[in-house]
Amino acid sequence: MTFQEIMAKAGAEQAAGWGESGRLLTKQVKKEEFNLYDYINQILAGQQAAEEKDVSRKRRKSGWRLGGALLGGVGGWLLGGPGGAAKGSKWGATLGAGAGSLLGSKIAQATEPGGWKLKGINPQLAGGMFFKGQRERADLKKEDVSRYISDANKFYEQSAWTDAVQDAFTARKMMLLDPRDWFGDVGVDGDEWITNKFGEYVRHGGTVGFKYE
Amino acid sequence: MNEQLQKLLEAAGLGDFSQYFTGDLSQIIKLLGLKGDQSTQFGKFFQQFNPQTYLDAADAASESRDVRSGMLSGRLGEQLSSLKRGTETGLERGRDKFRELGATSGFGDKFGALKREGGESIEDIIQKSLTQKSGYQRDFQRGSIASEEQYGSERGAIYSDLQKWLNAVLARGERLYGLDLTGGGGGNGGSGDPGGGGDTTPLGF
Repeated sequence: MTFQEIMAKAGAEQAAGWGESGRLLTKQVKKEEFNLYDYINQILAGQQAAEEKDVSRKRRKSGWRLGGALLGGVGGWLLGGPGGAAKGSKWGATLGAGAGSLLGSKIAQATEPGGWKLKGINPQLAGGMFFKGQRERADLKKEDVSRYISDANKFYEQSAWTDAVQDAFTARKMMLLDPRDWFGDVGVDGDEWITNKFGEYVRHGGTVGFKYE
Repeated sequence: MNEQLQKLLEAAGLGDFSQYFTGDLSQIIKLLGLKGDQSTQFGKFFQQFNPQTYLDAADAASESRDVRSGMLSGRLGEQLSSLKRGTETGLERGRDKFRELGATSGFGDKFGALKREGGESIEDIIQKSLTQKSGYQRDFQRGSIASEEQYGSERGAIYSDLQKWLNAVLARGERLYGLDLTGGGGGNGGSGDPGGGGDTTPLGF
């Protein structure tokens, strides 16, 4: 073989070899890149779905909670009244509102379409040779979303009880107030009615008014 | 490493990079700083170096030069032999001619004018012969220079190819670095089969 032939052969081998190995590299890189895109998209889609469901289940639960608290409060007030007169009706409303709120929340939880829990995400990313930093970043994002879902589920479940206690307290406060004060002094900013030492119902500041007995 | 290849690399100015030219891909991977499984995983992204090809090319260039040199020397030898024969023949004929003229005239070849004329003719023959000889020698030198130039350009082509190969290795290494290597523990994950395009698109999220 002549020198020119040998060199031409070597040149052809090199060009073809580098071209082929470059194509393999590009293929591998693109494969991993698209897998990574898919993985990230699954995480983001899971996050978006969880956020949407969390809002809708809270909205739904708040309706049931309100209805339950009102019904429970009125029911308790009615039930407590005959047995313990005024005090019984107040405690009855308090306990009824709390129990009704809890029951309403639990009904909302139990009847939530598709289950009350936010579905966890579990996308899988195949191993690879490249994009170490992006892989780590995607895994961190996955952990963040999983943690958010887990916390949101815990909070939702706990909130039935905390809301029930809160509703009971609210009912109790309302029952201790004069019904006319449930909504404050509408239209009179800064004014406050108090009972003075003479037993007169007056505006804070001195104006004598009429006290309802 | 092959001693002949080492010399070739040194002549090409690549003596310090001779470790890249062993023909062992795992060696290159190590030299590029890729570790562990990467040496086997990444081997497929490099083109193997075949030392024998370049040794064959260097041998072919040397042989070709030797052949040309031999041909030039042979031709010069033939030309000089031919010239020598021609000159001797010419001189012999000249001498014979003057002897004949001297004998015919009765003065022999000792006569002054005849002797002078005969001497000048011989000088002409010798001068002509020397001119031809120097012409042949110039031709030989020109041929030798052309042969050396060709040899040099052939060696240059080999050096250039070696350099190109090393550049390709280093460039591929740089490209791999830019892809943020994971450690090579993985494999051919997923099912995508994309075509060409850029490598390091940032994945924004």
